Amino acid sequence: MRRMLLCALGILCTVPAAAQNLRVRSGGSIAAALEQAKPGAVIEVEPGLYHEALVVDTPNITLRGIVRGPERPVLDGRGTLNDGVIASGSPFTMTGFAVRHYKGNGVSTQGVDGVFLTDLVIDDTGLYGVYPVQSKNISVTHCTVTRIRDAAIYVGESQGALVAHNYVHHNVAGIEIENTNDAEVRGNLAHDNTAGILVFVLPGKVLKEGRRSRVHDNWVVKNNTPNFGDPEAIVGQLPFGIGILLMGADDTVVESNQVRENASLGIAITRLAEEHAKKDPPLEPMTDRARIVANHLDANGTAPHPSITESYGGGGDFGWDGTGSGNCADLSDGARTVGAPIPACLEVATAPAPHGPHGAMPSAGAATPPPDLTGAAAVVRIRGMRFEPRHVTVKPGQTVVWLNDDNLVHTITSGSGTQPSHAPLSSSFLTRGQAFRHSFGEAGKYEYLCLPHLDQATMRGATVTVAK
Amino acid sequence: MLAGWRPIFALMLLASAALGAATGLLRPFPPLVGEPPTAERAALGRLLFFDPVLSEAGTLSCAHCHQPTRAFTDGLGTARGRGGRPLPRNTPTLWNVAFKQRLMWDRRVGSLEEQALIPLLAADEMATDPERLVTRLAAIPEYRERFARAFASEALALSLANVTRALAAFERTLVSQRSRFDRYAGGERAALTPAERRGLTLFRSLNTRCFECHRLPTFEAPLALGVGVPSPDPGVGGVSGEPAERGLFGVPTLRNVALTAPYMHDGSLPTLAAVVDFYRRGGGHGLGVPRDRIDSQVRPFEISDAEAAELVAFLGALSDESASPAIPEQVPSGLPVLRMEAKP
Repeated sequence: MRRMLLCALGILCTVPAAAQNLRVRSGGSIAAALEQAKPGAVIEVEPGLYHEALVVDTPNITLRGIVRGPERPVLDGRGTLNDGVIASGSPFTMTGFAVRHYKGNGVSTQGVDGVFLTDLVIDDTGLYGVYPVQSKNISVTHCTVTRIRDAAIYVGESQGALVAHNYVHHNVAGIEIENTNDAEVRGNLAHDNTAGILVFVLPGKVLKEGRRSRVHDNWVVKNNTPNFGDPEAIVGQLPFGIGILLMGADDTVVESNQVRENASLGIAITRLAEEHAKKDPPLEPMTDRARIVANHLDANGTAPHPSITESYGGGGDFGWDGTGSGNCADLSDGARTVGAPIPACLEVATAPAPHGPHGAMPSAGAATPPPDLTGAAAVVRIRGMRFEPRHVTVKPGQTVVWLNDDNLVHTITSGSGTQPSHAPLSSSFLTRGQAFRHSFGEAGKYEYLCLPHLDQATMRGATVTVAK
Repeated sequence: MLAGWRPIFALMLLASAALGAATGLLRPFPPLVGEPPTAERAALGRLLFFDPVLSEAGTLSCAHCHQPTRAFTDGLGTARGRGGRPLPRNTPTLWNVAFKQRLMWDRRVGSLEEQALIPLLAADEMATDPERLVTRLAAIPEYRERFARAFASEALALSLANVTRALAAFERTLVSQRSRFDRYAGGERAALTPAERRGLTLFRSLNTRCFECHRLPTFEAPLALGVGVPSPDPGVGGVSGEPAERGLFGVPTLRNVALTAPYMHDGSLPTLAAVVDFYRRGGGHGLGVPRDRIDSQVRPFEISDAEAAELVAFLGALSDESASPAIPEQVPSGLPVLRMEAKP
């Protein structure tokens, strides 16, 4: 009775509201649909040309482009509009669009918690293609980005990002992780950019560090395009022919990448130049504790940019400027190295990374408190890319705890098949040793998946059944 | 019976208004920096702020440069001190100083208390002798009583340090966070005009890049940056002695910015339209300022004149003076309170 009364008053009763579904047909306006959209709305857009600049300030909006074979909705700025999409509502999901010909940027998110950008085809959108900044829990996957004057896929001043299975070519920078902690960059293909993948710390930002990124299993090939960026900006000074470059970021792991035929340097470690670092004294300009392991390096450095020859004495598969502490590289016998000789990783003890003020996620090897399993009616462990057990049953009001026991980042996200719905389960990115808990109210069957591993059959279709 | 429910209904209404419609632009303000103000200290600080007794000659109060009717600035290019002596920089607003980690254009101090000492003691400003100031204040019964109440637990209630603490307490009440932009961020779409909304979109564009330094919700950033205003002023470099920091200044808030013309550290730009124009042309690029003194994000950008006007219109929506203090009719010293000009 009491519960019914409270329910009538609008408290303590969670009636799942029917999701608002809006459909935009070719010739219609997506901006007009956004005006009506309430939190949780899904806006489906039919294939067609849309000359619009979109602003998404409402929380939890999904922009879903309907893809039919080669047909998909195209946001076209025709070289006159500034930005394709600016989003500030959390979370924000966008899939299935083409975005092209904007002056400033393709898709940017500003201060968003939960950014899910998938299957976007972005071409010629000014300075950046995808630009999450001051955001957290970011996933950029299966996007193709071309002809960008700065970074095709940029993540800046953010916490927790997955950049995976993207295809970036003919940009100045392919992928740039800047002043960001805990980014995973994997399975991307970057070719014919000026530089393939950058992990940077730059001055003049509020977040003054970049730590614990992992760059692995990428293909980074022939990034030899002459720099066509703004010559007055830092990006315009980037020499051509760079595969993977670490500058100022700490505790980065570069592992199992295929890095070939980049004319200056395959993989390089350098400090942020003194002229830039001096303007921002709190910033620590050295690249420390980078680990370069098990990469396949081949035929890099054959026609280096003059500035590389000047600094490193020539081009090569691997180059280090000799600065920073704790850096190491395991290079195959045939790899050509230039610059300072670097210790092998076997000889360098792995010290636990010190946690910065923003480093909320524990790093591998650091002492972490044991996860809190109290009050759990069921515990699901994630290990070896599986949920164990895959199906659990609990009673209404009981709590399930998920524990990441795996070396990869995972999420617990509601969704059916490969389609995430983000409710009621929506964890942040869990690194090894981190747990997520949820108490289930209503009876029912709750299906969930792992966002970064939607492509793995074992990481979707898991369920929690709640029954009396 | 029903009366008891009223607060709960009110809460529910508030909650539904806040949860149902707030946009992602609504961000919590950071906590106040420094000592939280008490009512008694803020009230005392208000009287001190308007009282010329703080200056040695009894002619200048804080409010002479930080005029409440001009959003706590003076309308001048660069400030004027004692006897009209020219001072080198534009008077910054006091709105939302409570949230600033470092103060002054050159970011030289880290607290409002320290900051208050600078104009108090400067020879070309208030030129106060600290001992004589305390003696002067102790001779005024109302101040004696108010200091004793505001700092009751302290053996020495009336001291130079407590003068600065009272001034800082008053300044920490000058909070501006209810502008039309804030109402829009909270979900009230009609709070901004269509032109202002387009201006907000331009403000957040990667074409203009305004938002990257003037950040939500304070519209400032705890950073020193160079934008290239041609000027001999060394800025942060003058404090640190570091040549690379020459020409860098703190990023000012844009809250109430439409009320604080003229602009920049030297007051060299008369209107917001001129400021937008300055950035549109690439800041100091092309004005003879060395490239390494201009932040790499300050680059020329192309927007139409109509768009430039929309950007200015948006900045006007950041005005909120609802927490403006009453100007006292008289102050305990009996010295004349500066007559404030009516708003332009």
